[in-house]
Amino acid sequence: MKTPAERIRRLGELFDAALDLDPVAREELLARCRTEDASLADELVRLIERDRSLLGSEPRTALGLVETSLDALDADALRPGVRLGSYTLEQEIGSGGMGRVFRATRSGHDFSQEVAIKFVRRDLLHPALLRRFSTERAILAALDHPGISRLIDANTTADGTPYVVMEFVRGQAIDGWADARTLGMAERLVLFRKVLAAVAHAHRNLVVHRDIKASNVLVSDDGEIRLLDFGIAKPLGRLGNANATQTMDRFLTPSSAAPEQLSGGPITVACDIHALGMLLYELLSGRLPFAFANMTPGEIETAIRQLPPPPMASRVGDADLVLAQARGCTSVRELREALRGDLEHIVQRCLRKLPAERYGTVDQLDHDIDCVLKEQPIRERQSDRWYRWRKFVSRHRVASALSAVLFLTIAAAVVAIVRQNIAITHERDRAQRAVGLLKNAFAAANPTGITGANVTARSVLEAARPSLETTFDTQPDVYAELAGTLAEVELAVGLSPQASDLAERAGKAAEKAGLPPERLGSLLVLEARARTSAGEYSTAEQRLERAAALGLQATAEWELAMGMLCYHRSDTQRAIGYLQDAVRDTRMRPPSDDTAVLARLQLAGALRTADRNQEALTLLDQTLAWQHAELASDHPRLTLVRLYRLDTLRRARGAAAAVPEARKVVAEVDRIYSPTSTVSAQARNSLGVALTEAGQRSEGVQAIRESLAAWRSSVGPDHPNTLRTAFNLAQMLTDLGDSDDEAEALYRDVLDRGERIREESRMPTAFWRNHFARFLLKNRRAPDALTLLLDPLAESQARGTRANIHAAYLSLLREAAESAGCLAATPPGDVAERCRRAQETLETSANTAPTAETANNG
Amino acid sequence: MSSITELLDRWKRGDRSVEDALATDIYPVLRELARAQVRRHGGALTLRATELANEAYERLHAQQGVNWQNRAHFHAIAATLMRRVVVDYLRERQAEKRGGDQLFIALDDMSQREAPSQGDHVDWLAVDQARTEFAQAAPEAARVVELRLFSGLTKEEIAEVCGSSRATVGRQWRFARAWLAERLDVVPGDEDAG
Repeated sequence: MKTPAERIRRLGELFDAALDLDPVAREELLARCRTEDASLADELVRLIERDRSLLGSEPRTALGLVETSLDALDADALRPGVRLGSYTLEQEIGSGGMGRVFRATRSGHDFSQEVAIKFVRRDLLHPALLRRFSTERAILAALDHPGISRLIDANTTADGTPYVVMEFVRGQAIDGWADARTLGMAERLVLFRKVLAAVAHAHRNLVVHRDIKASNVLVSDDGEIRLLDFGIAKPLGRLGNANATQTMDRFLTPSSAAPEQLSGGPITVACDIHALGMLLYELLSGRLPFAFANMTPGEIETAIRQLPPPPMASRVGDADLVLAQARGCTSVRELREALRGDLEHIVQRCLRKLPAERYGTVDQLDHDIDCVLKEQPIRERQSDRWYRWRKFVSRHRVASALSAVLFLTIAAAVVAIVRQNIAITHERDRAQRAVGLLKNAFAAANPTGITGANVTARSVLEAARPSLETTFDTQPDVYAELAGTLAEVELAVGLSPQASDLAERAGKAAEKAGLPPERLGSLLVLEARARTSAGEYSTAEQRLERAAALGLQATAEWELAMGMLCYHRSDTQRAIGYLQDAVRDTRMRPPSDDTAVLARLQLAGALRTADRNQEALTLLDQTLAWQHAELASDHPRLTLVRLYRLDTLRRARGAAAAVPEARKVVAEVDRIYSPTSTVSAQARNSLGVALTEAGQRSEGVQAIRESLAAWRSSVGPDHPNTLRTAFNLAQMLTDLGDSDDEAEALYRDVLDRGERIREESRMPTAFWRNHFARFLLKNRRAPDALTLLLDPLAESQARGTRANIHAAYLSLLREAAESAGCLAATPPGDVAERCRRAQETLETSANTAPTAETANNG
Repeated sequence: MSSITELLDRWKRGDRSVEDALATDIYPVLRELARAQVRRHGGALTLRATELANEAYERLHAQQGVNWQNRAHFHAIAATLMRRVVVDYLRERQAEKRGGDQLFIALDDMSQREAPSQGDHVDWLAVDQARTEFAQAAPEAARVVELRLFSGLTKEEIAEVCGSSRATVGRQWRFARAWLAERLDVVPGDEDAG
């Protein structure tokens, strides 16, 4: 672990080195750095980004990279008349972010061809990338489509400047062309579909364009479109390793980039879909979503990555009559009207920030535009509700409890899905997906499945039930699917009895609908897990036997459920056997698979219970490595595993070794969830325990304090976890001995609340009371201790628990009575009554509890 | 008299131990000038670092007969002091206000240069705190920050008083600026994440 100062120094060295490198070499440096220290690499990336944006905002003083390595092209080396192999430069026809473009002629013995040559700025294109690019040239050259200008050649000049040679296209940029001909909306859409056809062709050949924009789409006089610059496209998935496809994409024009292109995400067809959305936006409304021209690069980046695009109609001003007329509209109002509705939906779907929420393919986009042209409803609108809903959920995903409004939304949505299912059976897939979202939303709201953490979850799920039940008779197959999923949700949020019932009903519906045995079997396995979690072990076992009879015995799900059952029944040895099978059988699954992850966590838990801490730790380490390979380093799932690993780490390696990791997990959890989430509460608890064990007791107390605050705010002051943590804190404070007031307030609060929820949650109030009494005695407050122990419920509660707790109770009562002076001939007046009752209680107990004398610790 | 001149000579020869002594002499002058400037601007929190340093230079030169070899050396010394003046001034104000309005100070000629913040308002206390942390790891780069922000020196002059090159100063400045900017800026959350 580096000190902060060492970290800054190391960052400074790396930063300095990175300044000298071109983008590709810089990525390599970052990759190396990442293997050494991922968080350092992340910080370095941010610093480089900062530097870049600060340079951009301060062009006068920009030095270093841009100044020193930029313009090998500036010299007169490139000018009309210069020959380059078989090409002769004729005229400079453009320059921009990427470099300079010339019209040139290529002369052979018996032909002359007009070409466009694009010289690439050297700081943008590294020779290594160019070499790689060269190997892909054949593929690019094979993009044979009338809508795509052909790549002819790619090479470097004598001084090393890379260039690409492309077919020269005469034409006008699509937006200007359409405006000049006052094309109406429908004609613009027809024209746009030609662009889509060309892009679709490229996508089918595994090539993404990555920089689609109006100036790259030319239209010839006869109205045919031609896409330029496929030369910078990168063949999809052909560059091998994942890093190469995720390198920061600096070739593009920032204003036409998709969010993931700016954040270094993978470049996929979704980038082109985004760019096509921008193009359509501009083509239809005459404006880009944001006024990029007046923005700094940093602002553009923020807009693209974070701001939802405003509706097209809102970008048309009252004074935009010319714009309206160029679109065949007689008034601005008419144009605005035309921009609303389905077209707006289509554009917005293209422009979503998350690639997965955009159209999956160009063909889908094309289909919707075709629908608009044919005046049919588009698919897009039907799923819009889900988009908005999901968006809402994702905004609130860190909230420990989802808001009531959200739950109403979900409840309404579930009703809607179910109704739709009654009417249209083939819509079931989408409904399934919707419920899948629901499941994710719940899991995100309560990632650790704390029972009772989400009181409102119960109400929403219950609200969803009645409408679900209506399908039980009419459409048992639908019921089985939906109820099965909802049962999973309920189980995930800790509502095990409800999940048990629902899974059972789902199983019955599956039988009734004659679903295949494996489907019925999997519902039985689900029910078994819910029953196990609800403490109904024998029912769970029966369900597992039935599932086994249906042939599920060899599945990982069955093995997991059986392992969990054995574990709950404290048959740890058998549990380990089944869970090991489940882990083995999920080895080929991705780390995002619930069964696979759960099997590993459960096995680790069982191993720990068997005191095989080292094996548990090894397993969790392997799990982390396995997840690391496929998930982002800050993926919530990874963080959860790290959280579960903390206690194992402490037991296997000692508290001192666990403390640094616990600190990291706390920081990570705060970032991904929130400092007041249940996850954070658990992480801080682990940190507190580790610190205390490592002898850093006051720091440990502080961590537990924070944990308590997180529990209070995430699950409320009455939740068992809140009370347990509060009790632990009180204990630790008692040990430290310098915060007696705080400790006493905690004890009182815990006892008070514990009494209130005792009925439903069986809190160990008798045990807590004993400790509080001991605390009072230690502080020489025997009369107070007497009052506490003589609480009307105290004796019976103590008797109702384990014998040693009762014994400790009696012993404390005796000690309190002695210290309060009850043994004196005449006890002090104010305690005399209490002395009498203590005497009474002790005598009664002596008759009923003969073990009272033997135990003295609680 | 002219103990300042003597101290300064020693400082120029590389004796950093005299900085405290120099500070004792120069600091009050700067502080007084800063207060006067604030009064002139009707209490508005506008401090012009360069202007102040120039004034101080003139005053010391005229009143105490201090003979500076060149302006750059004076400003180099004054930059540290300017930082202290500004920070002390703001602390005092903050203490007076008891956590009232958040105290920002606009250093107009700084925003034209490359103050590690966008817009006109810079929370100099936060800047100073971050710079102090940074200085523990990278004292030379932190010194460059101080000179860039609190002296009117050009990059060449900074390079000269630091005994370094323009390119090195430029790099140190870029790293420090990026680090401070990263440190001071609260990155807005991305509601679309996940």
